[in-house]
Amino acid sequence: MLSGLSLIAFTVPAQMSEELRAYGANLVVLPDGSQGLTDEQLSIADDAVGAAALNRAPYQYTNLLYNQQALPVMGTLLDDALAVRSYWEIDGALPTGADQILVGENVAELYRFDVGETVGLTAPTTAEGAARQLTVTGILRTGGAEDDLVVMSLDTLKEFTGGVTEYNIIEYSANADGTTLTALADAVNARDAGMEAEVVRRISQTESGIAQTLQTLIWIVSVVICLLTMISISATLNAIVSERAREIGLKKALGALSRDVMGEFMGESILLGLIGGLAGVAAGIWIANFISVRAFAVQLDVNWWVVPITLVFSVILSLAGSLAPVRRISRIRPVDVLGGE
Amino acid sequence: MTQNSTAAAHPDLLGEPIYSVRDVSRRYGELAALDRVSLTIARGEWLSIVGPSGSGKSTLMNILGCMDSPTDGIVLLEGERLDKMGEPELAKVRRQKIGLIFQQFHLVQHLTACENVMLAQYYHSLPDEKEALEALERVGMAERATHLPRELSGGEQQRVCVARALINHPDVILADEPTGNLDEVNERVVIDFFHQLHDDGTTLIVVTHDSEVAAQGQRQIILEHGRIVRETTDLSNTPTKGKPVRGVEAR
Ligand SMILES: Nc1ncnc2c1ncn2[C@@H]1O[C@H](COP(=O)(O)OP(=O)(O)O)[C@@H](O)[C@H]1O
Ligand SMILES: [Mg+2]
Repeated sequence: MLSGLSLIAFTVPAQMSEELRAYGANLVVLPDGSQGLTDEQLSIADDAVGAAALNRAPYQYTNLLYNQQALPVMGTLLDDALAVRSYWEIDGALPTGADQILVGENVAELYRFDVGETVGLTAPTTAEGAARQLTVTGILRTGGAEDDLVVMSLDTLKEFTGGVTEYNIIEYSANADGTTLTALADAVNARDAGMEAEVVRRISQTESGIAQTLQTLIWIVSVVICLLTMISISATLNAIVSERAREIGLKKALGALSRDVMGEFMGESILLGLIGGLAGVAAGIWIANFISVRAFAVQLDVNWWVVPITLVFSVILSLAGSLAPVRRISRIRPVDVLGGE
Repeated sequence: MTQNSTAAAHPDLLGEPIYSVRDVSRRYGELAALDRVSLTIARGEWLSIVGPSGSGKSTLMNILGCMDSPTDGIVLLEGERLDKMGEPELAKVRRQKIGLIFQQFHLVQHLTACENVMLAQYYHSLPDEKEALEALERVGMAERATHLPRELSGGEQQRVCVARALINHPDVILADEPTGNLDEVNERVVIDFFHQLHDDGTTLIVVTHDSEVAAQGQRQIILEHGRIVRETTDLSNTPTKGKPVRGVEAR
């Protein structure tokens, strides 16, 4: 239980902030009208943003047919897109050749595409339906919209669109925030080149807020659980001490010192703590993983440090919990518990 | 046979004293469970403590057994002042010199007969299963060594307790109503073991309200309201084996 929480407490915020930081585009440029953006407009935008751009990637969206079914496709400069969207996880490799593609996780699942397989795609406009055979080099996992897309290089996409490249969106990851970023957007808009720049309220700005609130919450819950655990350990041991008062008195009558009997109880308590801790770690990792996947869509990187830390912690907790009950042992006198006819 | 209300003992007749009790009182608030008791117990003696319920027999026993300390007075065991000792020192004396037998047996329920005997060894020195089995054999319980207390009859449990009491070769065995929960047959069995121990030179102090059991000893002290009101000595109860149970001679 505890280890599960501590796993989430440690891992999720850590992963989350990385994740949130990874939504790296903080400036997007969109077409003003229904027309896509041309290469010319792209270079105007680049010019406007200037050196502040750390990474930039243009994207073109369209639909292609796979077995007569429409399949959404995104064309982009793959390396640049990966730089902007650093949260992309690829099982396999980025396409290097012209006839290679990435498929989103959901698409791959839906059509049972695997790495290395060829997929026949056709442009919706070509009536004759001669499919181009493309090889899947990787499965794309993002937890986002890309999971439902086929992703390919702009060059590959050109083969279907007849050489027309019209970008639907350009993403910048700019080394700027707040007012500087607004200034950059204004600079693009000032060019009056049929496009509109918008500042993305980058999630990473609120990231620390969310993650920290979450972490604080988890800490509070953990502390409360620790206290409750200690109280319950304490109560349990108290009951055990009462139940075994005769046995304790007898041991003392046989010559045992209080500290001998206390040691035995502490030993038992440590053992129970260890067993509980181990069970807790196992259950905790499982639960934490479950929660992470469900609530945060994050596959948990199990930080194995959690195991010894949890074990040490549960032992400390059971020792702390047993302190008060075990002290009662020294007050049990043989005459009080062994008498009586 | 002597009757003596001043409770003076006969150490010279019985040998060197193992216990010397001088003017010992144990008070619970207003109530004096023991009231200025003086008593000398000789090494190797078999002393019976009798008296009505609430007369202070267990209180005296607990003080002699190092489980309680007097409010006033001096208690010497083999020359050491028990009344001055703290709990750790008393525990050490209990461990090294005293074997205890209770009316309620007080075996640890989740340990076997043998493990119960070994428990006494554990706090004394080192558990030795072979020795523990020998002790059980001595009380005729060898075949029941792996049984739990609840699987044993009262008489059998008390025999395990005798084995536990003698396992560390104590100087004194203290028994508080050892036959109080036993039928006559098992009472005889336990008394026979006491005779054996007595013959081996162990000092026996037995609290009982059974006059037949009391008469097994060489001396009886009779308590009333925390005082020794009478004392009878029967030196014919000298350690010799296979002696029949005698009838009551005192009173
Ligand atoms: N822990 C105690 N607190 C108060 N009174 C006690 C305590 N133990 C014994 N007494 C009292 O001391 C007296 C002697 O008790 P005890 O030695 O047990 O008698 P016996 O064993 O002869 O029946 C009794 O009146 C009993 O009520
Ligand atoms: Mg009593």
